Amino acid sequence: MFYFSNLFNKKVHDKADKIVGRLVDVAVESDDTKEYPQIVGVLIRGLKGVEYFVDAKEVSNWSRSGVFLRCVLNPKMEIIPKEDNLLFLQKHIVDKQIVDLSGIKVVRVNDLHFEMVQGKMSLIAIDVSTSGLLRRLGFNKLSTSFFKPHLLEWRDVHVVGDQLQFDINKDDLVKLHPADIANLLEKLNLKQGGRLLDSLDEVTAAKVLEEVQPEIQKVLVQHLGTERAMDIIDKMSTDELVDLMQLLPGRESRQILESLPVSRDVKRVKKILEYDEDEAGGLMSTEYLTVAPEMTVAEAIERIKKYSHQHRSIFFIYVLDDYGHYLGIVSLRRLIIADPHVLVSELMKRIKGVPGVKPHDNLTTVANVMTKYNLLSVAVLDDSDHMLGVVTIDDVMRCLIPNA
Amino acid sequence: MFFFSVIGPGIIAANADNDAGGISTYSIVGAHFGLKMLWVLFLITFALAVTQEMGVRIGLVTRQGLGGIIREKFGVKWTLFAMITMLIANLGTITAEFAGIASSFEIGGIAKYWSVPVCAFLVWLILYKGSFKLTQKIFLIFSAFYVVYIINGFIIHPNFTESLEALVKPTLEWSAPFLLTMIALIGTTITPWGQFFIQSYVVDKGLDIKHYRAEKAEVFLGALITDVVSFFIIISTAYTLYKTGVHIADAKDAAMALKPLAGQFSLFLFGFGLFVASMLGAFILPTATAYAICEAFGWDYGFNKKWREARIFYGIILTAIVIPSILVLIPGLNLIKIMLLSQDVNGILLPIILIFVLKVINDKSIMGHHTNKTLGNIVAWITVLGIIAATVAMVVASFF
Repeated sequence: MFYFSNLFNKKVHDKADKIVGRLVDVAVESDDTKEYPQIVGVLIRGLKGVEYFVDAKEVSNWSRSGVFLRCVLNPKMEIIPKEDNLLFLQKHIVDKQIVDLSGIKVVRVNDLHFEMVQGKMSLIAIDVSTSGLLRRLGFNKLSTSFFKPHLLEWRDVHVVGDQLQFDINKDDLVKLHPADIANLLEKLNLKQGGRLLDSLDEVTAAKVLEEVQPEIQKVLVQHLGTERAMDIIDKMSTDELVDLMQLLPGRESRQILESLPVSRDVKRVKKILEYDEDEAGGLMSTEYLTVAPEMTVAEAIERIKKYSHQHRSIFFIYVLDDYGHYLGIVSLRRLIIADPHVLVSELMKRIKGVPGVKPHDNLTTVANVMTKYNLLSVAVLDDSDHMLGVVTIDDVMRCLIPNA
Repeated sequence: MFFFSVIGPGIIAANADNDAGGISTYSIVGAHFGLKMLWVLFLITFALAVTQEMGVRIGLVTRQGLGGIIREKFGVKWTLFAMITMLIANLGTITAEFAGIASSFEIGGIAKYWSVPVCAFLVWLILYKGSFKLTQKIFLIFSAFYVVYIINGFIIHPNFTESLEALVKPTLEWSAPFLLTMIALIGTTITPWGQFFIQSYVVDKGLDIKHYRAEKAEVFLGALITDVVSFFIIISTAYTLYKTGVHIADAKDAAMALKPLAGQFSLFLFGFGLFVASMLGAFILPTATAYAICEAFGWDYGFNKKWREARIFYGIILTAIVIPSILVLIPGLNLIKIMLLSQDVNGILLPIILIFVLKVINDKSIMGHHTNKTLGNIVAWITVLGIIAATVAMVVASFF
């Protein structure tokens, strides 16, 4: 085994044991299916400054004192192969940022770890530790005596270099919580962030985008361009979409609204956009479940089962009359423990016990009502008690503690 | 709050430029050399605008801090070199900030053995537990104190024709004190930390290249404002202290320049201004230092991390507060000299950082079509070579 720092800039000896140059880069196969990509060749800067690409088969010995070749350098080797299926490690990996999936953070590549796998020298792991940093700097004693290398297996690593395909281990990435992916994304530069978002499926990407800090959310959408961003935005929940529209400059948000598919209730989005961000109307979501007072409990539960996939969480079911007037709420718990034949109207808490808020009420008023009546979500009503939307505890918390 | 939606990185960085080292250096420039160095100030206004704009552009295009970019372009050894350079310069400036804090309290008769440890602890407490952004805003508002220098500059009825002439008429003295002060003047206006700070700031704010025009205008405005203030500090001291031949030996002497405006209150006013400016620097510098180093070496950073998650980040901040405080506490130290010399260190090290910046900004693979125009390169290289020449001249002059 050895590290990249053991090889880099070391002297290269040819068949006649003559020093012919220094090693300046190592290329591995860029095959996503391989757990441990093999070294394909090395890049050597000759004594006159010309670069040669030498096949790994021609390397007889990798050692700390130098690299030994089975051949002599010839002009044919001056042709450097295209990078289509090669990954040059010094150029694209070393010193760059990578996403560490096990630790869920963005780290910098300090060194690389190679080992023989089935007789071929292969890239095994990335060293992101201070020990690796010291080794690169040539403080080998210090590197081993005080610090331990922290190796991340290559297969656990999601490389975000600009030149690379993004779908390495996409499945592992999707397993993370969207909020964690969002935190990673915030640490990356715009190009890398855009690439990361692109590599996810639309639903996950939408969830991730919802969790990203507003300023970065804005530049990401602008970076992706309206068309590419549309697919992701379309999957966002209405209230998050509204938040995003409020951040974007007028022309861009109009463009996005116009190109939203018909299935989307654009009117509702536009309506919410009329309100300020920190009042009930601006905070509210238009996604909530409703039932009619004359439904039975069994019917109500059936309705929840049918529509629940559209909602992130359901705390209360809202009871509306045929004209959309708010009558009261019924909690999920009450529905579950009640007799299936009972009518919703007998079960529900009426408007007097659970008042709604007005669209222009500010955050404090909304929070007060929610606290006073122990509500996880509160209805937003117009002057004639028409239900406009709900403000959930999530929306309030995000407004109170924006940077979490 | 409208105020904060308008001001951005350019103006904040420019304002923080007039810190403890700044006030004392400008005061000494005026008090010891009169109007002789105004031409330098005039030239470095352009240099400041150009170099800060370069920092903003790199930040907008790459959305990375300068530390990270240097690491990716130059590799780990050059990064270490750049980081050590920045660290030395920044520790010097932080020492100046604590010397400023000490001086401001000494005006009120409070010994530095009390003021420095208390303020150092306060800075750490607010950074670790409190809100960096809020505190920064508070001190920014206070730093409007500089207005008093502008008003004072009119009250003393200076000869404006003479002053404006001095802006464009180069005068040079081939003596070590003159060159030393001149390098400090450059080093306090264009700073290594300023390059790191402004770039991180645009990245943190989530700005990108679409905001370039607005940011450029703002940076230029910032450079103009900061040097207008510097101009008035220099003429305030030139027409009061230089005329009467007062040599600045401590903060009380420098405060005398405000006497025409504030009379007896000049001591208090100057002390307050110096304190506020020093505190602003004492907050920003350790933070900027830790951000740059952690970004370059890939350690976790940010105030939303806990101590356990970002030990090195907090460790750097703590070290950058504690070492300078201890240095300032050495008995019998001349605080004014410390403030001036720290700016010399900044000035001497500045070319190194600027060369890194120039290499990055002219790299097509990083900047695409946003690389430097010829004019920007010329101004930046003249700055670099000018400082190097002045440094060499100073070394030579101090031997003969």
